[in-house]
Amino acid sequence: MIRHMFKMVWNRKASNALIILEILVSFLVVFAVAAMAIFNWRNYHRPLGYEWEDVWHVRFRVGDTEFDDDERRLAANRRVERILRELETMDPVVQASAGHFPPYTRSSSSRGWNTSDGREIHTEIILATPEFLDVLGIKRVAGRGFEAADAALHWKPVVVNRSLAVDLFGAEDPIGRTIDFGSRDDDGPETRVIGVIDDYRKEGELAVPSNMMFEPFWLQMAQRPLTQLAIRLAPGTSAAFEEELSERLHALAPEWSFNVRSLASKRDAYLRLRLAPLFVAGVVAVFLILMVALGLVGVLWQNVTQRTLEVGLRRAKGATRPNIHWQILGELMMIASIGLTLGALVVVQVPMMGWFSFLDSATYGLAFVVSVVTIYLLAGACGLYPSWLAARVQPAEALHYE
Amino acid sequence: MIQLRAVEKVYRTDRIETIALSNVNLEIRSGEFVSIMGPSGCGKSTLLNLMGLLDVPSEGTVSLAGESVVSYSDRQLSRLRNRRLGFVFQTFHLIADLSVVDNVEIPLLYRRMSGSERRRLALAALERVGLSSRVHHFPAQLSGGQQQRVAIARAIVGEPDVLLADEPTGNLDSSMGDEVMAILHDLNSSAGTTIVMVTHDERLAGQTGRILRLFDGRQVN
Repeated sequence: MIRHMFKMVWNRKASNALIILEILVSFLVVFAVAAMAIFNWRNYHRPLGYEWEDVWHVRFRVGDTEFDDDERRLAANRRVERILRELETMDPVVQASAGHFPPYTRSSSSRGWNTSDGREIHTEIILATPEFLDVLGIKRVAGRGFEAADAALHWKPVVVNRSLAVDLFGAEDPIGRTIDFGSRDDDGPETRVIGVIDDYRKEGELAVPSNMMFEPFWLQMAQRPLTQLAIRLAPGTSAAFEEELSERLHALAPEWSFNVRSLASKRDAYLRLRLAPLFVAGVVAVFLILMVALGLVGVLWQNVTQRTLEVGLRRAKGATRPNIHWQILGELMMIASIGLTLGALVVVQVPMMGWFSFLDSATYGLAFVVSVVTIYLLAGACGLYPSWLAARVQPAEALHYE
Repeated sequence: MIQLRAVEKVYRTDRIETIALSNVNLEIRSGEFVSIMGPSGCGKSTLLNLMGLLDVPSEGTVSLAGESVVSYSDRQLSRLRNRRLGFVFQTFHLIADLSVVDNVEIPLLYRRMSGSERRRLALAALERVGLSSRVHHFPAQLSGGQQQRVAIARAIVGEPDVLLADEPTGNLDSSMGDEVMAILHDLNSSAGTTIVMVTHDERLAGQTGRILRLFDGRQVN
């Protein structure tokens, strides 16, 4: 029977072209939506690497001349240090730190180089005071964080995330290892890994995981000042503390301007911003698929009507109602298979062309499976009513249908 | 083989009630070649549909091989149509997208049978109607007479007890009609197949064993 159905579908491929096209388009739409949904869903469930609850973010603006020379830079850093210590005397403040860049900020600083053996390494750089890792509850999996005594080292200590550690040293223990910057080794002091963190997905739950390297920032030195603070508060601190915090900050640095927000509110804004286009795309896709489904039902209905005589003949020759029902559905599934095969050929081209390279093979494969299953379910659902109609055809009437 | 007792068939719509058959009593014996005649609209095709279990009577009983089928389920009726009845239609009703041999295989699709066995039986049926050389042609590539021979091969491929032919020569010229009649006579005489044929042609009806005449839904003989 399957062979017979295949012959029917194959010999009618020209008249089935419209259905095949509809299924192909539906498949591509479903695949695109599924790939993005799975991509974001998987990212959402990856470890963030930090705790955003009860952490507040302060961004401040300083005068235009503050960074002009070492003396001014040192003065600015000293003032930041004083601010941090003062804030820690406030009741709900557990710990305060400065750093570029706290979570849910879109700014970033990155570095790329080729190692001596030719490997290409790329990482984001986070410059932060030693307390930053603790303020954000960043989980260390090996080694240690920064300490005040590290300022006196003749080499630069860094903390890296797992993926960067793997890129740099493979399966070997990275602690105490010197990072090979290849020809750029002359740029500064030797850099050694002192700790490994699980991750630090700065841009939040939907961000693509990337390599991260934390470098220490010493407020006692004349470096270009950090202009962002991360402050851990006692659990349950109310939003009303914002006003008190702002007043204290203004009191400590009257000529600087401060913007205070909880990471929770920054996270909400970030998720809204990232999810809104996905939601719109999802709604558009659902409408598209609904339209395709309606079209499919219409085309199938017409197809079944055109085959009334054939249905009558099959019934006269001994086909039961379920036989007719499954014949129509079976043929539809075969037509869907042709559409899906064409769709698969299109979809396979995408990674070969290097498009959407951020989608890994697991996401791609899962999206493919989800799309195939969805299309089969969609085709099956759309075929149910027309095939039911066909099965209800009275043979005596059908044989005289014109 | 087929018995109809006090059969009535009434088609009802919201406003109109049309009596297609009224108080029909007849018996078709095994091995008979019977023709049904009558003017257009007298109920010939309706009678054939009832005998072929394609329709159910409004009143009365239809029996096949001594068993009333009035209360049979769709599945049981389908099985009887598949195993015991063969149909030949005036307009052939071949599926244009299937080759000759695939068309002939259709009744066997609804039996438990291997593909090779199906193919063997279909080829044998085509040989019987003299179309062995056309098995892979499509219906559009055949003449009307050849198409009707394919339809006959399809009707007999399952070796039914009864062949029901609704004006099988109606769309053919006289020579092709004679060819088809020769095949039907051969089936009746050599295989003992019971044949009931609706026809308008007195000459062809005269060649059959018995003529049933209908007028306004009633038997007139």
